[in-house]
Amino acid sequence: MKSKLKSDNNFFYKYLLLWNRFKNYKGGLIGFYLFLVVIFIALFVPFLPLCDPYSIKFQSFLPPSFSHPFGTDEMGRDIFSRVLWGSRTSLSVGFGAALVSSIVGVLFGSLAGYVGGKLDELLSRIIDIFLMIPAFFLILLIVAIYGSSIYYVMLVIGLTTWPSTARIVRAQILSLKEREFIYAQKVIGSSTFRILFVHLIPNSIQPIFANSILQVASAILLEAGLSFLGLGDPNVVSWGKMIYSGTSYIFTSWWIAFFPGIAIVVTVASLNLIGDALVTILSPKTEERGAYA
Amino acid sequence: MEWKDYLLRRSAQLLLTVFFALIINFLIINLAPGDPAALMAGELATKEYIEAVRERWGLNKPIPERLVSYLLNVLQGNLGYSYTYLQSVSNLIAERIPVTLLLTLTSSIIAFFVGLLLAVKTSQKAFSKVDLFVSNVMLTIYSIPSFWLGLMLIGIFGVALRIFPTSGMVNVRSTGSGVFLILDIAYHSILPIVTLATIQVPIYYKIARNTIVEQSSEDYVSTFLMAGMSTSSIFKKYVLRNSLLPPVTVFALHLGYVLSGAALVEVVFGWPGMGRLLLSAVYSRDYPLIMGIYLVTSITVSLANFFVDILYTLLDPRVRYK
Amino acid sequence: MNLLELNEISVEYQLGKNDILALSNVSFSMYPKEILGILGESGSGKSTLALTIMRALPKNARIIGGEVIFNGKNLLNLSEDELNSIRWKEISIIPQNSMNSLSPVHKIRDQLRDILLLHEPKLDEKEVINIMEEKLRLANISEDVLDKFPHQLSGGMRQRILIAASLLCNPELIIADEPTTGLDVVTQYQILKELKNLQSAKGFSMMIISHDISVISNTSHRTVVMYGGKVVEIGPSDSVVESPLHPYTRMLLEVQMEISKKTQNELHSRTNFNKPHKSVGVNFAHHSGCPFVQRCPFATEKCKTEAPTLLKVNNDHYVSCFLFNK
Repeated sequence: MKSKLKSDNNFFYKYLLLWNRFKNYKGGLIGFYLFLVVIFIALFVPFLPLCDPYSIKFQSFLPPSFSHPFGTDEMGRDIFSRVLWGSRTSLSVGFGAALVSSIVGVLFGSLAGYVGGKLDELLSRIIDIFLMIPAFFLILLIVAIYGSSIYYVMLVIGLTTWPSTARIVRAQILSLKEREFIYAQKVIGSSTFRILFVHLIPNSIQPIFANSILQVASAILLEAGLSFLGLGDPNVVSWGKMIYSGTSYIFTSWWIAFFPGIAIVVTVASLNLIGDALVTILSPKTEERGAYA
Repeated sequence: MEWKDYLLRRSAQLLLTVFFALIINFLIINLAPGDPAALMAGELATKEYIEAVRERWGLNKPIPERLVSYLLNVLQGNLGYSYTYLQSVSNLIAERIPVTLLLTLTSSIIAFFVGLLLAVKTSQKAFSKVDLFVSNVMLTIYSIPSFWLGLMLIGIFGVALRIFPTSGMVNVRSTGSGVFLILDIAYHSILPIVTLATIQVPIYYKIARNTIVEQSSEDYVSTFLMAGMSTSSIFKKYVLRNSLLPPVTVFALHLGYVLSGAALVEVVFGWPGMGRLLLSAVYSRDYPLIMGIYLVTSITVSLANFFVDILYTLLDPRVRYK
Repeated sequence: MNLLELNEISVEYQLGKNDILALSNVSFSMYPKEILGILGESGSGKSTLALTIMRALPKNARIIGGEVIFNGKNLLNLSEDELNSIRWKEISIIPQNSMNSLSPVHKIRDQLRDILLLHEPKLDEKEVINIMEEKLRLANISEDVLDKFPHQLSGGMRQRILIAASLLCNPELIIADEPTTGLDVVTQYQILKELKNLQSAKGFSMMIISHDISVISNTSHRTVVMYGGKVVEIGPSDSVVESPLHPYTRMLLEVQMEISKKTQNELHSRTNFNKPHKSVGVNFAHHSGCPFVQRCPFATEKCKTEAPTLLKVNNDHYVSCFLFNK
């Protein structure tokens, strides 16, 4: 998601234009501001005046109150601070996985698109197959066997979700590689590496930008499911795990499972709203209708 | 004959996908740190048992031979032995899969129709405030984790309002059978199905709405408008018919996602399906079981995709008559 | 009495912040049993014209002035019900042919039947089939197509089906919107010939809209030339082609057909082919002056501010240009 564009001016201008159009999408805007809040929390949580998320010194099963806005859990930990700290886990897994997915996807997609021929066929087949395999169960299997550190989870999710990125990149490269400016580069003798990395790939970043945001959202949901089943990193605070421990107490202490879930919904929804707005903006056919404005 | 070619090609792709899933399974076990035989035998296994497993699966032989024996085993239906349940994996899965499929299929069908109906309503006024609002609400619903939603529904309807049972597929205290059993199951399935259906509605809604909006600006719509047909007639007779196919394909596309949701919902509601099996398998690191479940779900999804693709060629005249 | 009269028709499209004037004070008439050609490039407003007459403009279009008089009735004042009794039975249209001009998932039979029953609901199935087969025969296409889907047919066959559809209720006026797009030259020629024969055999009036001068000159009795939403020249087709008056028509003809040496030289000495061609439609929001002013080799200051009106030059030949005011 980091671009290699030439000048800073160009970069800045493009994003200004994008923001202008983005402003018109109410849903996307709401998502954006919500997400800013989430990011803020994730970044500054160590500096916020919160209880220690691991401390079990409070009384268990306290309902929400002024001193414990989200109550306490079965071990006597303050849920409010745990929810806020959990944002770090979710966001890092989300972005980490999306990053891995993007890198691998761009690599394979551009290779398939640019080289074409047999390699393209082979890679396309692999992509099709991968898209059919249910990622969740595969990730479960891998994490169960190989280990569940947070970095591992990021890596595995990324390695199972790259095909959708690859597909988009491949389509972009295919449409771009026949254009004149690429032909011009070939004529002046630029190496394949240069053509790919300086010209083709940077111009393909735009469509995967929107897709990556949606991938962050689904990665967060995946991680929640994983930790709900007990497969997440045991050393971090995870919303999924919190919900799991709250399951047994739903009859009496509903707040243990409630608040982490709300956190997930808010985070994932904000990302989905942004991503969906971006997809609409960046895909020519739907934007033409222009009726959002 | 074009259609036969397509069938052949598609079947080949199906086999390839299944083969791929098998290979992945194989690689995962064999590339893991540690002794694959110990993994498959389980954490409580004795030395002799581990050796027996090693023999059975040919794990003392070089990798190519291992692959062959693994494939042969799978083809015979042998997916390994679960050391926690003390049954063969295939038996376990065969027992549980109907439950999962019941939940998945009923919720998908319900979600399909609800999504379609909503899409029909909102697409008439595409891009209006209502349309945008509904789209955003759908995005939010899509962001809800299935297991949490199920839990919340239990909390509201099962605990607070006491309308629905809070867990289980049947009332453990009753001994009814036949019609009563079916009714009992149905009663217990309302909350889980509602949960799963709710999660899926956004998917069907989005594809239906987008297709309808797209079709509404197609040339044939203007042809009939100029011929004097009312917009509602055009919509009912022509646009709808042209919009039904994509949602059907979407079902197969998202099946993997739905199955994982179903597994999680089963855990929350205590239903004896693949989800609960999965949970205990993960908890006790019963690798043959986890592997078996992964394999079966992969095959299920591939088969579903296969059938939907074939169905599509039968439904879309553009593909059927060439 | 004239079959169709357009009086000062102006139509505007509202696209968010910009309004585009697609038709500006368009006036002309059509007589019974004649073929009138509407010649214009994209952006000239010719398609909007067809939609306006059929009262099938999209929601963001507004008719801001003028009348459309058909057989004495102003179509713009009629209610939906009255319009429905006129549509297809008195005026029909052969829409521009594309891959999806007909629904891809319905058989031809069902689509034609739906159109027919819309206007003649009392017909029984047998009569419906008879009429469909008769019109298909008129359009020179086999009845087998009834059981087929649009994608199974060639472009020419689809065009003929659209022609057959327009004939279903025996209208007095048929509008043909670009009846030859996407067809190969041979098929184009056949379709045009068939249309002409149909018209003279059945006696309806036809309005042929095209950007291709050879299509117009081969079929139409009279020609209306449009540019930038305005009518710039009207006259008998022979007259317009042999002695084009308006600079735009002259330019068009030089490009598309051979004209006399004298006019060619005159045109060459005055034409600045290097002038950048701005896209036509966008410049026309409430534009004053002649629409052709930016490309016209004879343009003067007056042309920028005042819009010329139609002047009679010959018998039936009118032109809208200040060159002819003296």
